[in-house]
Amino acid sequence: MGQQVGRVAVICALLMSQPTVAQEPAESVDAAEAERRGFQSLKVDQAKSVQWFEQAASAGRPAAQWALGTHYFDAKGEARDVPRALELMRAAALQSFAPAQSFLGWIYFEGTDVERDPKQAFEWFSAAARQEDAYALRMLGGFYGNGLATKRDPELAKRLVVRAAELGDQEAAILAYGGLLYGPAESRDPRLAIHFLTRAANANHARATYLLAREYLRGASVRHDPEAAVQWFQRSASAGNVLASLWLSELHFKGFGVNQDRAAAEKLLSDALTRASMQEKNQFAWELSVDEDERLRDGTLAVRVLEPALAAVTEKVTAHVDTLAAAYAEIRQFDRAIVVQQSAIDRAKRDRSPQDMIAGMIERLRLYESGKPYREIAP
Amino acid sequence: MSRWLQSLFAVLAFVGIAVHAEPVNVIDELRASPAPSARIKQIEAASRSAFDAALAEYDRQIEQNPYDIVDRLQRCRFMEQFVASYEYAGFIDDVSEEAERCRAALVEKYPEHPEVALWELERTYGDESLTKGAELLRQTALGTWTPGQSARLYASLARAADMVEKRDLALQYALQALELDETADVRLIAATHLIASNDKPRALAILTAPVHGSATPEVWSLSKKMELLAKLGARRQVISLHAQLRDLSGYDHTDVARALRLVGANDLARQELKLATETAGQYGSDDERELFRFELDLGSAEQALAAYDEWRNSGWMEDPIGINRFALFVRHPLLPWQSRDITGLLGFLGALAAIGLVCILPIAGVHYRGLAVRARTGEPYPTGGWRLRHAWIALCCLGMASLFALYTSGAVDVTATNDGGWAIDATNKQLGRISLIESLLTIGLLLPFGLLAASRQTLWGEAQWSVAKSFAVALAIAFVFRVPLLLAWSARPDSMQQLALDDALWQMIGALRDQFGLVSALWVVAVTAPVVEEFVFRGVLLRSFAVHLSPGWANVAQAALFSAMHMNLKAAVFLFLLGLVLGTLARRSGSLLAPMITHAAFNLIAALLLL
Repeated sequence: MGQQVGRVAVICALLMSQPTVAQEPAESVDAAEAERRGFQSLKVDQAKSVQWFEQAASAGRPAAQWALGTHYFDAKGEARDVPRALELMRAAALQSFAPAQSFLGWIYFEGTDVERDPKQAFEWFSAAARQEDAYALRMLGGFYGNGLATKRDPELAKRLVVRAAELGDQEAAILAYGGLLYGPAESRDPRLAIHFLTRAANANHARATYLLAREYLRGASVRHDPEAAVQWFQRSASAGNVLASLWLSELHFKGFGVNQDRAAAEKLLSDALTRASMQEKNQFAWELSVDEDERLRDGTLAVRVLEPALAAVTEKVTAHVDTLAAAYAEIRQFDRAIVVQQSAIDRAKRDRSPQDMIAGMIERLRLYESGKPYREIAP
Repeated sequence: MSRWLQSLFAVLAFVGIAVHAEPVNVIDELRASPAPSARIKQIEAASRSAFDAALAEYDRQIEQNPYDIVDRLQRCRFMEQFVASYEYAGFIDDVSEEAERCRAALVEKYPEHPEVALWELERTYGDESLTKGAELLRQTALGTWTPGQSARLYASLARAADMVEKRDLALQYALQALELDETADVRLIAATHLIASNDKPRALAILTAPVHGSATPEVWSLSKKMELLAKLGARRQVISLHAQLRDLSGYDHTDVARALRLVGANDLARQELKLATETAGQYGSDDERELFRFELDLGSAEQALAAYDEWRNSGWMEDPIGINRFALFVRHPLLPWQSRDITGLLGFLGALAAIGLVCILPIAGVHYRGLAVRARTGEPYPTGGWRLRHAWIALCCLGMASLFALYTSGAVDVTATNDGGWAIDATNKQLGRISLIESLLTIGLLLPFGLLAASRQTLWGEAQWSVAKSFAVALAIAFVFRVPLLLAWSARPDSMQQLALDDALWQMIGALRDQFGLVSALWVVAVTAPVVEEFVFRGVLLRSFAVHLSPGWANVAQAALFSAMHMNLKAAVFLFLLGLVLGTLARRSGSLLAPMITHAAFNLIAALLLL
């Protein structure tokens, strides 16, 4: 829905820059004029805007149908009318109106307000993607990548995601970065990967700034530049990324890319930990435990972050236990690592986790048994 | 066979031929392969059925995806492109009509759809495109267009603005297109205008972005990209692009060599220039000339001589006054001369003679007019003051200074332009040097006149205006004459640079500024030119003419020569008027101070606006 909300935001921004007194809908105007006035009064007077859109939509104008559909879908309380929204969106989509096609793709994919229907979602995304809708292209990439409602085609999936990234879709840019830098060797293109990531980071995308900071820390596909990493982590943290705050604390602890300042580090850490979800703590601990680059590992901190958090929950997630074992292995407490990893494997088997996940965990257990910690190539 | 049977057979055969709808060559009947006309019909039928099959495929797609407008659009596009590509097909009229119907139906069904609007926009050019596109921009701002559609709109607008040379607009649209779609085919437009506005880092970033795009780059765009990268000094990228170009064919070797040379890849540049001379054939000698210039600057003596010989093989007109052979001599003095090099020397002497002859023509006119008047009035021929021979020598000095300056600049060509002006085919560096040396030579050659004037007070007459009055009047007149340029500048300040580049004289002055700095350009424009030209035209010429003609006609004659000397047909009338006013100013004020100030201020205003 982010795409739809984004479009309405564009309309609002436009209207804010052109304050115009909306005209009374009672006035008799043609459908095109009614649609124009609908957009014009969207910010000034939503009720009037809806009336104008109603008039234009009933005359079959797709942009008005889409705007009205968005209104009914996003409305709060009783005003929310999903069937009406769907009816309007479908009418616009059948007239090849790309934003409405994209909306239908999303709603049938999500399956929260309607019954999930990947096949229909695929068809609508395809039609919108043909008109170079970046969001639809990215979503379609997911369909082909996972073989959902169509034949699996990783190459086509990659090209769709890259195309979406070229068209400025930031999520697609991050996906493209991952695939082009860490995907299959034959399709790697580190320069293009970093280009997409930098573009999304420059737009202050919280995860993109975080990932770019990690790349500067690692120094494999860009120059090693801890100072730049700190700056990107700071931008990411400002955009609300807790992982970035956790990493900033670690860099302050180590004096890496920034002057060593244990007091500031402790403050950053305690602040971040109060906000961090279990998932974020787990990811931070995993990164600190298994990175190939020794400078970026800190098993002690990983244990310090994860151990109490895990102890506090009754229903433990297998992946989190797996991470704790990796953290013990990193600080060379292999006996504990083996015990914890075995419990993680038992849990995974009990929960019927995917076989490749269990195989990975068993492989790590073998490493711990032979006195070696686990290492992983980013990201 | 009996005779009657033979006759019957012949008749039947004749009847058989006659009943055929069209004549068939009987020789073709003797073999199994069909006649050419039958073959063509077969091909026609096959292409028709291939066309129908393609159309059916589109129809099937549309039936399966009725809400996919792109399928419908592709169907219409297919027919339009078929009409453009196979205009001689027998069924082309049918296709043409069907294509029109397809377009009309699509526009009627989806009148405001972005895809249809973009398609319609493709049918417009230049300013019409810009106007229609600007209307569409309002729609994209509502968020109802996809990023790809918006990017295509901005790209169309950038191309249209570029076509009508609205450079700032082209850059603005191109950057917006790239912001929306990194593969938008406007990188060259954006980079060209960024370089023109001296934003080189941004231009380099745009040209070297790692986005591939889907289309295979054409030879033209690769060459253009290479040229732009060369301007930015991106040696590694230029060489890499050259490797790509070499795998293709049909590119301009000389342009590519120029780009390679610009980044110092001289061996590769030499290879390309040699390829150019090998492939150009008898169609011209430009490539040979380029190779000579290259070898003169960078090659050994033998390489330079060999290149000169190859170029010179095209005829003596390649180097008519021997400038290039002289440049070769200056660079490699020990190289042997050839008998055919004498044509250059003869050309030089001919040019000197031509200068003398051209300068004597108006002087002779004045002389005979003076004689005719004296024959009537019986006045004696004057012997004091400035004489007509001084006027002739002064004019010759101006011409000779220009000619000699050309010989100091290395390999250059001087060519006439269609509008009656002249152009020097030389690098900016050479142009700068020519301008400076010409100004110094002119002063050197005219110095004896100056000393003569200083030694004979009678040559000047007495100043009738005070210095302050001379300044005030002179500056006011200069300003009045520059009003048109000032108005043009206030209307379009950005186009001044282009105005400067269009004129050969200002091109030289600009080159001088680039090479030796603004002070040297101002020295030539605002000091040397006013002092020298006023001394010659309003000093020597006007005063020597006035002895033989009435003051008014003397003024007209010097103004006409002043205008002619600038060799600029477009500005001829304007310069003539300026000459008249400067002449009047010299006569009224009684000295050259006022015209010199007017001339200096007149040039200075233009220099400050154009440089």
